[in-house]
Amino acid sequence: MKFNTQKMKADTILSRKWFVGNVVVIVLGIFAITCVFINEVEYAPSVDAGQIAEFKLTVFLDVAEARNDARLVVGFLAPRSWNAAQNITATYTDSEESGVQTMSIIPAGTSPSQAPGQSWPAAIRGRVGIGENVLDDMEWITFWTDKTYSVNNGQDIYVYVTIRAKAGPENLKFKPTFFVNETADGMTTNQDFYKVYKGDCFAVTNGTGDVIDFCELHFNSVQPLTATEDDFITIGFQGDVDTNDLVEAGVDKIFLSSTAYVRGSGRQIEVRDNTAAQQMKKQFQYGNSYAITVWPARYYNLAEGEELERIEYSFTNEDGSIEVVDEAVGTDFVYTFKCQ
Amino acid sequence: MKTIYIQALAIMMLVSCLSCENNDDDARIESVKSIDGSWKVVSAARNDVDITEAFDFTQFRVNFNEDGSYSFENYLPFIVKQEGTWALDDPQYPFKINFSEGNNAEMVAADLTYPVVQGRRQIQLTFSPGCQLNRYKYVLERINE
Repeated sequence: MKFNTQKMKADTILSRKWFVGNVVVIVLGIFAITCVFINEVEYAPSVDAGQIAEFKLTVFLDVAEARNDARLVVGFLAPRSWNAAQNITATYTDSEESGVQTMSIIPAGTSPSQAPGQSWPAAIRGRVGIGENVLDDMEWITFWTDKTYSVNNGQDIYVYVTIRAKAGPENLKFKPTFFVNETADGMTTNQDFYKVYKGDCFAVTNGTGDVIDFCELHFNSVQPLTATEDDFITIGFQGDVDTNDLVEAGVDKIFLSSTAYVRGSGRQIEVRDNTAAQQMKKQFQYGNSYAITVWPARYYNLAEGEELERIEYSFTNEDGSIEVVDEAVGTDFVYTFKCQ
Repeated sequence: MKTIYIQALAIMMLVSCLSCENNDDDARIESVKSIDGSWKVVSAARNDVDITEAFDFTQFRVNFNEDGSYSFENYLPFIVKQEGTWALDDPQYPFKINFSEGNNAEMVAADLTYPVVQGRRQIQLTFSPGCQLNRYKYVLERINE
């Protein structure tokens, strides 16, 4: 009996030791991480077309576990028409060394350690999408530090990243979005290891064409923004953005009514007879969002060698008696074919 | 007794070393990849956005013939427009497929991968038929494989 009591005491002590030991391990585990923060992002509200826009990020790394040969990764979401790989650069300074340091676009074929088989842009897109932008014609460009770093437990590091982007030629508005991570914890799902910053609307002004608005939905949308007649283009009608005649009349078959203009010759091709080929697909079970994807060369039956300059289009019901046009000007919406 | 064990162990190690053979003769040689046949689109993406259901890709066919020629049925935007000849950059480890339209000696290349997905061989092609800023990815599967 005495033996049993001693054994029970021993078990209790062992159990307590095990408990305390494991709690300590768990607590250390919780804190033994390298937290990444985006403390601040600064940028002007607009830039002239073709000029350089600067986006400045203050990144804070709270190192709680040593890392070897790690690189800081910074992602920036930009309109695809900016041709980011050619026109965007990134540099940084930091609290641990002097001078401006360089960053490079992460080479194609490089996968994050926690997302094997995926590129960095694809992995970020899978997690963050296009931020709060409403047109999916954007791309993630990902930079990493040219230097690798070995950091120690307890280090607090500030990194000041400057992204310089040459704005494209067209007028547009979008919400710059930023992603920060480091390669040792590449695309881990733990949100302590990466951060996303969704910025306010940024405008490109004094450029060409009507403003393409990534920030807010409009009745119409066309993707991609840059295309030729040999791309697939998707034209959308967002009927729930505001009151309009089609939705108010309860129309559930909506057609794309359009005229294409051939570059050079000025030949006009009307496709406004509302056949099945022009009917737009409802995008969701509920709501009034419709879209049609066409290959313009075939849709407008172009002759060999003909190129399209633009299309003018509206949305109608089956007999064409109800129509939604660009209410700002009272005429058709316009999509211009361009490819920088 | 201990000495006997050590001696036995030494003999076994010697025998196992002597029994080692150079197995280079059995090294597997990567097979030549064959893409002969008629292929259809099972998935299409524009700039990483899936458009498979947004457009009717079901009638499009690209036929890679054994004689090195290719042809189309119900043509859709593709790497090339006209019929001609094709070749892989490496028959065993292909990463690109090269096309020559008609009698044109100039080759047009597209990125290619060749995975087996759910037991079916696929070809994944990445290319820009229109504006170079737009990248399309077609996933093709062979018909009647």
